[in-house]
Amino acid sequence: MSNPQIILEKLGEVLDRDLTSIEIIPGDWSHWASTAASPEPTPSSSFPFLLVEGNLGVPHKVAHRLYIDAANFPRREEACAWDEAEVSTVLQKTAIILIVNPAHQTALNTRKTLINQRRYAADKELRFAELLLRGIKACAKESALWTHRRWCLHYIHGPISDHTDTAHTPSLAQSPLAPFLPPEAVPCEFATVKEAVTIYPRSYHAWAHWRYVFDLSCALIASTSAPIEERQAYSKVVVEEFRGLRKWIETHTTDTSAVHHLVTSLPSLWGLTSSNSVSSDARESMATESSPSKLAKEAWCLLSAFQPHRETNWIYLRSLLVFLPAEERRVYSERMSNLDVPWAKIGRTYDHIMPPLNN
Amino acid sequence: MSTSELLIPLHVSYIQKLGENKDDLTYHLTSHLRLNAVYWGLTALAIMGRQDALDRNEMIEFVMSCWDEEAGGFGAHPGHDAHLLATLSGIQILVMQDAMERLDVDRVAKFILSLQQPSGVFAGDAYGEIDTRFLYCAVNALSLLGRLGDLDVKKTVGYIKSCRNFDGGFGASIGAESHAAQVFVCVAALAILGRLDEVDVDTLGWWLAERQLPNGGLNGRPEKLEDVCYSFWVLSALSILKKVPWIDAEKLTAFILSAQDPEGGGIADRPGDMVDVFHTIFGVAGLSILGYPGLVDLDPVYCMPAEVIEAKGLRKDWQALPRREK
Repeated sequence: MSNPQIILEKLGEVLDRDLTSIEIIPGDWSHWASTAASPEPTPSSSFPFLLVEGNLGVPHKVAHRLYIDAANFPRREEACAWDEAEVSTVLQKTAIILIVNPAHQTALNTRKTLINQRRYAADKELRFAELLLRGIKACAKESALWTHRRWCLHYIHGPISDHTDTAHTPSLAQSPLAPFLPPEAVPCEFATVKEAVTIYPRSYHAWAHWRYVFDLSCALIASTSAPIEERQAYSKVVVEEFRGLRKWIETHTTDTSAVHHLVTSLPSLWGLTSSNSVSSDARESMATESSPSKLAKEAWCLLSAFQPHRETNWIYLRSLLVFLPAEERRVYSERMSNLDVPWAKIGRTYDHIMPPLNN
Repeated sequence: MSTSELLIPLHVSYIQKLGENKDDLTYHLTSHLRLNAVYWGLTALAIMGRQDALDRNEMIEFVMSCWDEEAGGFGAHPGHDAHLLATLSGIQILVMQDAMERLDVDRVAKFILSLQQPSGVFAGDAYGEIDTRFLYCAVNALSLLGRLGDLDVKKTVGYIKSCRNFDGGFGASIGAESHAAQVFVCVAALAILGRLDEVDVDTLGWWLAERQLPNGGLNGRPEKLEDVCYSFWVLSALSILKKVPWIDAEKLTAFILSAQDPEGGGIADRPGDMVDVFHTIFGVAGLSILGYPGLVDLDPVYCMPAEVIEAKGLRKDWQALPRREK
């Protein structure tokens, strides 16, 4: 491979382009040399990457060789003294570090420092983080990278607390760096989560990000200070997303994370079904999508359809019981007690822990 | 060599060799958690009765080389930014090496306390990632420093309470799903703060016991794979709740032992995978809680030798399985 610094500069040039995806691909550049896609350069020792129609593949061995050269990047305390060339070098080095190791906190902090100093654009970093989260397994699961994304969103859009009183939504109030999202930014966040949990199933921090965005959207729908057209836009996205989550659970029958977030989001939706800040059409859609009886019926269909029964479907129905009218609860409890499953303790209903309805 | 017993000499040798080759890619790839790794290695050695296997002075100097003078905390590696994860590990190492006189306690306590957010949670560093892991790091560290009295306990406990889910478990933040590692940090923090009354012991104990899979290993969430590290996260929480007998100890012991590398030493996440020092400490820690013969008692709240914690007057009311004779 040619001089690592020259290769990193080439990588920097590619990352400056409007890429569609970033992935780590197997092997070395030589394994991909026959995969040419004009007008992009063929992988070679001087351009050891695969670039096809905006999709960047960084060969695994190339990434690791570059990592060793990039590892000792300058400390961010010296950033004020860096000229433009040094800033570019630091961005290139920290980029390859994060492609391989998204948990490198110091690399993330250095890029934040450059954004704060206005020497690097936050929206470019947002796009870079999005591509990593969507394209690389290790990135999709990494909490530091999801937080870094929210930091960029906060930098661009400001805090959620400037737009609504977060006192009634603890998940929004827990961090002073909780970002606001205008309605047009919300679909990208949900889409990024979905891709992340596709390449890394059950990504804990991807789902936590989903939850943040969903709670934010619900809070802004309920906020009378938000313009009505914005509330309508959030409503549309929330209904579509909740509907999509129900379908996700049907097709991902071991995804307990999705079940957790669907069930624990129900009180937020129910709160909106009685809110005057929501149009009657939206209220009706929300009520239909979040009907406990309807969800329980779906959960029972899933639970009874698979042999052996899936633990996730069991948990899904189990966690809905507390929301059902007494007779429905009794019927499902009896059906569940007749199933041959290794999970016991059906008697516990969690009533004493569940939040009250219409909270 | 058989993996039906704990291969202590091999694991000691494995830990001693870590970091020998500073040109190795793995060495660079793990620099962002180096100080944590030193703590994991030291604690594993201590539980195996071989704390002397690594040079004390060299270790203390490495810890101090990770001090971030600007922030007043420890980073994971020289030149890395201070973070609560590394700060706790640095403090734990200095405690275990009886070298606390090297630490500016006032400064590091100030750094830790500065990271508490109005909601009660702690950020890991000045850039604001929040997680109940960092809350535990702060509580543990302040306890070891003797500075727990400076903490707003009510606010801290209030935040943990808001992370409790309907299944009795705890998540990384408000609204996040229950996860065994987050359960450990929340339960252990509550134990240090004397507030285990906030735990539904039976419900959580059952959820933890359900982490055991037919092969004896433990997972961290429903429908996930078994992983040796949950031998610590789950078992320590059960130990604090005094429910260790709720899991099948024999099967779990066999699972942990099967994840050893019988040639080079070390323990992996599951049998056949590559070993690392993270899974080595948590495998050994799990075996200690299970009463495996020949090991030193581990304090599950602090994940440090029990004797060290008792000497500081910090022991809480936990219960491990009795140590079996060899």
